[in-house]
Amino acid sequence: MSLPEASAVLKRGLREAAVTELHNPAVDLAALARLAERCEQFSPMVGWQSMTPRVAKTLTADWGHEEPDHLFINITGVAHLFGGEEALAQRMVNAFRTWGLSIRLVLTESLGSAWALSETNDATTIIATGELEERLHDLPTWTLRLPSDTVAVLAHLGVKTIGQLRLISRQGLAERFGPLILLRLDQALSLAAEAIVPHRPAPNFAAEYQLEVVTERRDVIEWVLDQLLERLASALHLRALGAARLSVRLDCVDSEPVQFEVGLFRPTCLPSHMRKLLHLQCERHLWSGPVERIALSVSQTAALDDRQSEFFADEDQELNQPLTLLFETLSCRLGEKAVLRPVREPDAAPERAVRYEPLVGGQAAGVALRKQRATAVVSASSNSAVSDRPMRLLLKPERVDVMALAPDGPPASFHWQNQRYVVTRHWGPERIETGWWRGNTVRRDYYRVETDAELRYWLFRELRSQRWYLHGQYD
Amino acid sequence: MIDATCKSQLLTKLREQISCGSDLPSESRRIIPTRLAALDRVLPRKGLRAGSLIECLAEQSGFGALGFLLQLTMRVCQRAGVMVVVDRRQEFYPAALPAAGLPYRRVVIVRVSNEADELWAADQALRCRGVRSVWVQRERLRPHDFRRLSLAAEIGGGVGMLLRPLKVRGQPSWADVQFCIQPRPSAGTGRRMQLEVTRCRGGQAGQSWELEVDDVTGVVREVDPHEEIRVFASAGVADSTVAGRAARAARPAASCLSSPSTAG
Repeated sequence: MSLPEASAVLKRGLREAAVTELHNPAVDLAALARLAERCEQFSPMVGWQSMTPRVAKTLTADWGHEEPDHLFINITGVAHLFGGEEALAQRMVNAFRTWGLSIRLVLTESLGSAWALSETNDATTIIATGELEERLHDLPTWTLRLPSDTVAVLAHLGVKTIGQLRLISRQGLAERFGPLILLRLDQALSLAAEAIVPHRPAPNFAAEYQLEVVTERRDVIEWVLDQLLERLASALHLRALGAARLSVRLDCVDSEPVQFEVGLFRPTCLPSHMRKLLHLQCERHLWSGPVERIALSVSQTAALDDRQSEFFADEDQELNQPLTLLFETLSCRLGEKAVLRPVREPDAAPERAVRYEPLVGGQAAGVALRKQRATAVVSASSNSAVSDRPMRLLLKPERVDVMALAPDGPPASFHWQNQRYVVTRHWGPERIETGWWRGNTVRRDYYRVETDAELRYWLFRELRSQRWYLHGQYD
Repeated sequence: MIDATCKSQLLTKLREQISCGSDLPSESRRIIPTRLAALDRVLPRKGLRAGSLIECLAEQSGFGALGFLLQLTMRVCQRAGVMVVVDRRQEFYPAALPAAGLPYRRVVIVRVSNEADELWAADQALRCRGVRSVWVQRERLRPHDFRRLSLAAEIGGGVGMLLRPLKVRGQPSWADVQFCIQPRPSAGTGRRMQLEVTRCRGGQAGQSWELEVDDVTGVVREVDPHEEIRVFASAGVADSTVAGRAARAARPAASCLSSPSTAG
């Protein structure tokens, strides 16, 4: 409400004592930054409300994310230095009191639950491992940091608490509300990782070399790249970080600069490993004029001991290294989008049931492995007809002319690529329909047919247009 | 007069000399049994050799050659390792793999746009120790490139499966085993095909059998080609299409060079 309204509401005595100041978000943010610096006495990793930029865009309108009012402090492995979690909590509360602030403090396993509990609890709360689910059970759904329209729809459906939300099937939630709701739920329950964005930006790993004598010689340029790589590798090593993506820029005299990137399957700080890939990528590029400056930077870093990006986590560790090298070499020459791993998608349409993810690409590698586990859980209960899928699927289904004995019946013969095929046996129909809320709907009756030449094809009749298409071959 | 022991010693010595001359591969590689009794009998050392190439010749697609290769790949991928499919036509659909027992996280698909990249990718994948099986569909393969692939397989220890058209039969091959697969009339959901071993390094070529590959259970078994005729003859079915198929099944399943009949 506006200021005059507010002062009208206040009783006479309070009105004189009330202090009014102009709201200045920038000043607030600066104050929060100073507070974060002070909190560094408890832990080096302090940040405020962390959201990935993509998500933040959709949510800003709802809670004013440009004005954060929570501080997140990562106390993993730090509590014992202060004599235990309770002692640490007490110390924090005292420290803030000396700075003139009263706080709501929550110590828990995940950022999501910390946010949720701090919004609903006034007292200092410490959640032990294992208590998380029951503490979150009765909290309202908006504490999961969902957009307000999602919360409204859920309330309309009668889902008001997190406990009720968890009773709904994950697949149903994902289909109706999108992946965000599952992400938030997992983040609150500590099933999905969420990182604190530290208020101090990470250092920028970049190095450049100005050549005194311009040159076109490849061996000189590669030597310079090696020197820059050594410099960056030692900087990375000091901070126990690995490079996940490198970018190189060669400034040429009188012509366009040459830029290229090298993605790594696993973050590494070993210069020998990166050197091989850099040289491989360098060979594929030509520069039209002499090169005067070479710049090398690490555009993406990741923690070095990131186990999630190992290809074989538990089984054969020794296979990881040759496989990593293979994927990186293949991606270097063919492009990152050429080396893919299939991932099951909970989508009935066959062309969308399998998604292909690039193996190399920094974040993608680790995330891919995690996401795969999540989707595997979702589709564990799905139909057994998945084993009835062909080994060859056309990129786009091709139109065929079919003669069927009954209007809704199976095909008796079909014409494809100027050849006529007579159907001797068929299996089906298998009806595949995707939900109308997905937009691009698919309503098809699939038939597996065997022709007189003993070849098996996968045909479907599109239900809306009653046209027949060939989608795949059972090879 | 040469007595028995002398004869056997002589044979062993001759075998050694021959194997030195013809670059038969080293004895130290692992053997992977195919669990198809007839095939294992024919292969030297009773199974597929890790670090070798297999050539599978098939004219058309759609009668189950890939299904058969998949069953062989399952045997090969028993140990931890990755299966790489080099896909130039962008047609490979992995949905059937998990049902056969190979989870998606062990499958890598490499999409290439031209033949040179296809060859290079297959070479790199075969060289890698963590790769158990590489699938490539290739029409033209120069002897030089073929040799390169076989050397790469030796280094990496995986099995390369080359799917090629029938017309390359007779051309020089660096594969350990070369099969010719042709479609055969099937009964039920299993796929029947005629498999002929046209080349076998260190073993006997020329054998052929009719197999049935069941996609659902993964069982590959040998069938009697005359089995079907007996079934249809006793049932006395007069339907034209069925009689036509029975007649085709009666044709001797001998030469692989006869092209499969088109219209019934």
